[in-house]
Amino acid sequence: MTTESRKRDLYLGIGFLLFSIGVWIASFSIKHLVVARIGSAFVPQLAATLLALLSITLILQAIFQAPASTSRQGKLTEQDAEAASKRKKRVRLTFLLILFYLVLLEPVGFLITTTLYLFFQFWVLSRRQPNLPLYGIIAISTSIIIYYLFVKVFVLFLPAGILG
Amino acid sequence: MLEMFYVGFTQILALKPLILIFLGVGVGIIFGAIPGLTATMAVALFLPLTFGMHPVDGMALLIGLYIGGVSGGLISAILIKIPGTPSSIATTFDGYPMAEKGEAGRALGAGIFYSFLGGTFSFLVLFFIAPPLADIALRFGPPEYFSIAIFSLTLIASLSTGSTIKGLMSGIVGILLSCVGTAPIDAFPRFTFGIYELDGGFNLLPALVGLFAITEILKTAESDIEIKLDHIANYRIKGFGFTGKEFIQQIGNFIRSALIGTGIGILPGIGGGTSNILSYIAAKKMSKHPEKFGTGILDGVVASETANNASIGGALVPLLAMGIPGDTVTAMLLGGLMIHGLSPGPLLFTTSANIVYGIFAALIVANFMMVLMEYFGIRFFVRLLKIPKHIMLPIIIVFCVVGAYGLNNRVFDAWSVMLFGVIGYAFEKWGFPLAPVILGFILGPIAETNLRRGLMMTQGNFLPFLTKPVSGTFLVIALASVVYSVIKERKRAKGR
Repeated sequence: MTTESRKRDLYLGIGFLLFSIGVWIASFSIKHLVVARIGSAFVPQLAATLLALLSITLILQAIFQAPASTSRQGKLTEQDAEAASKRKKRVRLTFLLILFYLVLLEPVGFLITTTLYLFFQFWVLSRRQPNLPLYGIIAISTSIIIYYLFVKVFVLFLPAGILG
Repeated sequence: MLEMFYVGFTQILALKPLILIFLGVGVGIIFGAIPGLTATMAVALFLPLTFGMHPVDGMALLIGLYIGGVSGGLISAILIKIPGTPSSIATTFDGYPMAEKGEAGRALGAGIFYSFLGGTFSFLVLFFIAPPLADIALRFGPPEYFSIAIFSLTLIASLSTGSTIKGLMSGIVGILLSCVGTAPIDAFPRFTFGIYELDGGFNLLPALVGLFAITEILKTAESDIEIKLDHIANYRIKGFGFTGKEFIQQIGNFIRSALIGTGIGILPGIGGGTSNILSYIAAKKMSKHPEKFGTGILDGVVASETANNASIGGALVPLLAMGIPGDTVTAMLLGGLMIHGLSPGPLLFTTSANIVYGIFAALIVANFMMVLMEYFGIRFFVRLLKIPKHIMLPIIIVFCVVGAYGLNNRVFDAWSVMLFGVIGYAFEKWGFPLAPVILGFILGPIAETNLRRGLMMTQGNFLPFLTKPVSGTFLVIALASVVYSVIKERKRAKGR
């Protein structure tokens, strides 16, 4: 186990411990039938207890496990660092795009939001020189095909939004 | 039983179910072949479409996707050394070296053929084991179901890859997520925080789609690897790629791999992703020439591809006989049946035998279609491998959102997809396995409902859970499996 992953496990253990305490506290507001000894709060509390115990084990493991040689974790070259920051940016943008997609889906409607989402998502994920006109064509045609497929063939309801 | 098979086949051998199976197997193979897309995802995406269908038609489509999804992985495993699904990881070990030696056609032919045989073997096991097991399970009460659910949960947590502690934690997080909403038995709300949409809890489908599909796209956004398809080996298949003599030589290997695959499939929570590797290791250990493994010999491909398809029939045994899913795909089939008001379990064999035997018939038909399609359509599937992922994945995300939205026509379900996607991505990053989350999510409520029902029957006494033979045995095995894996992990930690 590298120092880095030990540190990560330590924080994770603490995080999950806090989470399980939170669950425990929230479980007090669960109503309880007087006649039953084991009520609706039992399983959440049991689960929270087990999670807390496991988190403590994870913390202890992270603290006491002998550190393995860290030689493999050499210095990151500048190129690596640049690639890593690019990766992070792509993940963050993808996350934001899906978020916007969900927020705008109902007010704006399926066709417009899907087209926009697809176009920008293709762009964000593309590694080589982005081919924007092609992305646009694929985005528009895909949204139209999916919309008609679901609404007409499978008779599912999709938000029509401002076009509806 | 024969007349029930007759009923099953008369339902499946009609135009509509046949087209659906064809569609399912084809799309399944595509999902199986493209790295990053799995059988689980394929079934999750198509599940909403089955809501409006007749149950047998719907299941025919899902079964086709399942078989295609598990079988398609061998194409990319052999041709580009990237397993299309976790079920084909061990296929790369010898399949790709075979392709490098110019034997790609031979590897593909044998892989497809033994996938078929492995599947057929496990279906026969399913047909003969599931009905009597359902008869036994009819006598099970809440204590037995509680214990089996607990057993399944510990098993998945301890057998999943990586740390046992993290596996168990994943399972518990799944249970906690399943607690959100109305509690079983007394219907008190839990963890709804006054948000009325949470009263019904999270739906299984958004949870699955989020955990597996959104996680995948975020991972793709992060990775730098692009599949290079410039030099795919010549993959013309001649015959089945192997001779009669080779077939006889492989019989022992085949039977062992099929037994491992089916057995692993029956165990709740693990399936083809585990069995192909175990069976490969077993084949290597038992072989007279273990040193040749990894250099491109037929034995390796046979072991892996037999076992992963054999897990399909195995995984369906606990699902149909007891209502307990054998892996993540069968977890979704469970959802597919419940949507139609059918609750899988022993009663299904008496109340809806036509559907059970319809599923059996669909398995056989889909297996034949899989062979024909992979055999004759290999060029088409290879060409699809060339569709760039940055085009493919966003379109799949749109399908996910549409499917989740179409469930109840509310954006809330689409939000759950996002929530589970974030959980899935974070868990992947932190080294927590994802399969226990989903199984905790499904098995948690089964365990809780049966625990509380059982305690009502025994006036709050837990002892009968331990003294009843079946229930007690499963609880003991559950405890043993946790203790065993903890010991194993300590040893491993010391060994470092």
